[in-house]
Amino acid sequence: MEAPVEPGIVATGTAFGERLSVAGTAAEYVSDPEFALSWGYDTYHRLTDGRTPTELAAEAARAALDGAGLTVDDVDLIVAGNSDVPEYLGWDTSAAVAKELGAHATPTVLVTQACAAWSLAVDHAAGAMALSPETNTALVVVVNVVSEQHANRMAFNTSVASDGAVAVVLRRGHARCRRLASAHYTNPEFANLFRIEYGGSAVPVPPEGEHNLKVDPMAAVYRHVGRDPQRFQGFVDEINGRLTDVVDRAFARAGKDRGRLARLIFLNDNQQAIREAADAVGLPVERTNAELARKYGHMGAVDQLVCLDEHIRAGELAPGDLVALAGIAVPGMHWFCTLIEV
Amino acid sequence: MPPERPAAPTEVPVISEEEIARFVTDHFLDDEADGLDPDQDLLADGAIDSLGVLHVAAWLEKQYGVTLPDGALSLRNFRSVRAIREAAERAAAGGGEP
Repeated sequence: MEAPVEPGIVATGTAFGERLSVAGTAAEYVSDPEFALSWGYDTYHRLTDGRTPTELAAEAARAALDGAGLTVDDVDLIVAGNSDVPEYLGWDTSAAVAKELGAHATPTVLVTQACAAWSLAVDHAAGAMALSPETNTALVVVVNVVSEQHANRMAFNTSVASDGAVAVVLRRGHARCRRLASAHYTNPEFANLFRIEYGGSAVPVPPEGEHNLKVDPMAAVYRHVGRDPQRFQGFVDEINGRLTDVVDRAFARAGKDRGRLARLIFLNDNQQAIREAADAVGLPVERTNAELARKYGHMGAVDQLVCLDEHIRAGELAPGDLVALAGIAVPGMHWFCTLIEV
Repeated sequence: MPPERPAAPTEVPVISEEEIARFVTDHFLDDEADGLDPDQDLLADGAIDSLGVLHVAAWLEKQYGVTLPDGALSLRNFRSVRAIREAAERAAAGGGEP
């Protein structure tokens, strides 16, 4: 009989920028700090010491490998995710991290689907194990460092963006923190929303007087719905409705009873958004990552794996608990859920 | 070519904080408008959200004929009755964002 292919998380490593107070720094970003404070964040992380996103990712990866008692030579596959602007256009974070770690000829894959990158990276690792008997140990590493020339971390949306990296060592058949199933949904109707306007091939250089930091992404959303409140309400309803769908589908694919959902780990969104997400899946907000979101800020694709590790360390999750790691990614727009059995 | 004639002066509507307060109260609050301070923080109270922005913008257009430019549809311009009035006046005068 073949060993179960579902990978489990053997160890987690993290690395963050400097921890800063939202109240103490919001005035650096916005003219009305009270607005940013109203989202409910206390602190966030900002990379201020000259480290690059690749170096931050490598630090998290080393911590995960150390925790698993492995070296990079023991890894059969490296899957990297980057949810913000990388160091260079055309930059492959996965190869760059492999180089930082001193890997030799280990295959690497890069996933860049914004805040969903971690889920797709874990899925890719699970798929590689299913397809290849030689792939038994995978390193998934995800990084988010806000490029402050491309986006204002306190004015891009209604979250405080934060800098961090997380890595997990996945092993085939490992009994703890097993990835059971994932579900994703993409609505391409929203593909043009929340993009970074200038710097790509369409508009390499901003027109005179313009700058990425002057672009309010919500204006594009309002234009998209024709400034019609009813259509906008439909957009809002879809956000939470699709979230419920992907959580339900992940449970169905795993063959698990939806009533066993122990905790929702959503993206580290503002407190109101997390409350709405909790309502959507039928859990009290106390059984979400709402308190951790206050502490970490929104680290793009890094949030869910960091929070999973924190909740386990805090004794808030027990072996056998089913946890939905879920969220919404823009641009996309994507909804995603990966079901983990602790 | 005829000489260029000066443009007719554009009439800027008088935008009333009382009327804005009445609309906000009727649609987003439970209290009476008389009690709504023009500087009351409507965002912190959760009275106005992204959807509320569009409702207020549509009402300003209907009530005063003022169309806020896309760039002015930022939540911070809807933070209070006073902020809404100021944003509407800027738009009416041909401006946008503060």
